[in-house]
Amino acid sequence: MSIKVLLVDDEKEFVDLLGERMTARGMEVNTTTSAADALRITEDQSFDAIVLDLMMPEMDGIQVLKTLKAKHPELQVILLTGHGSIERGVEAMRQGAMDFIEKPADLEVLTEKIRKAQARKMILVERKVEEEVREILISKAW
Amino acid sequence: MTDTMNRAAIDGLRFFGRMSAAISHDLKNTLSIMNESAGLLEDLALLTEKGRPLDPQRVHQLGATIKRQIQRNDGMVRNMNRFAHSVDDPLKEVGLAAHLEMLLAICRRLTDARGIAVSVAPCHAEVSIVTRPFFLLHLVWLLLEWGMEHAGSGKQLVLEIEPFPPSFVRMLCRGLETLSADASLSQWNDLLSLLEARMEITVDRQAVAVVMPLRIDG
Repeated sequence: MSIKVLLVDDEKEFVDLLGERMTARGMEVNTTTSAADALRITEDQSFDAIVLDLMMPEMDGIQVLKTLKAKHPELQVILLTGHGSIERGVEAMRQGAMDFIEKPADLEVLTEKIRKAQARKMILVERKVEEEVREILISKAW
Repeated sequence: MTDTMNRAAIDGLRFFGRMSAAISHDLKNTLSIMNESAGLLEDLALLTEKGRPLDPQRVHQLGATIKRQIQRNDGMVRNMNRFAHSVDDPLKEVGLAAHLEMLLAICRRLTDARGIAVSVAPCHAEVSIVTRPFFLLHLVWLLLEWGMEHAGSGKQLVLEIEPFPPSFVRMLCRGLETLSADASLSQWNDLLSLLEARMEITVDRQAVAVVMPLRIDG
């Protein structure tokens, strides 16, 4: 099964090009240039990784990250930062980002991080399913 | 150096840093697009080597994308250069509208992030003033920051330049809401003093105005 990724960045040409390259590498890619759209899309669809720009109009990347993690704790978010400093990246990690990468991003490095995100999400989902099953077994007292 | 100048210089350095960071962010974005374009060209070359036919149209498109980003980059670097040189001379003649346009281009990402559209109203003829260019830019940025807090529901701020005879010019920041005529503007006193300017609130026009001389003699 291919890795499902959502790319969120206000630079349309950037998400289109990166999306095309990732698709050529076998990933299933959705793109959006709007933070609000990203929040809507994640309500309906599940992704292995979300690659999110830290600085976007209408909503700060950290704010989007907080909202996403509050609603879907298992979501794996990789932040793209245009800032030279790592301070914002560290702040993002503290808020629950899986990782961050500085622009311009090396696609091989980004792909590696996406693979790690997928693996981590699978573990979290499996753990969640196990807990749900355990709760059902306890509550039914079979 | 006077205390006023000292304080303005320290605050000015902070402003310079903030604008430089905004420029670097924009540059990183254009570099990213060029990076992905170059990467895609490499991908296409690899696929061609493996026998897939190359679509010349796609190569043309990528070339056009790179050219567009280079032009965008060039505009940013030109603005960055003008901004950097704004500290060269204590007093300098500048075209006021062009000076404001340059600042808006530099801080566009910061104003967009607040969801506010900021523009300079077209004027019949450029007004040239002899002023302290860097301190003027700093004052306008502080005014915009304040204005974004007080912007009306239209979320639009317009900088308007109008003559103020005989020897002044007035720059209005329009589009404000919830303005009170006695709002405190004392936080800008240092810059106003260095620019020999004064600030006024015009509630009926939903604006804050900076009245400054056409020429500071130094």
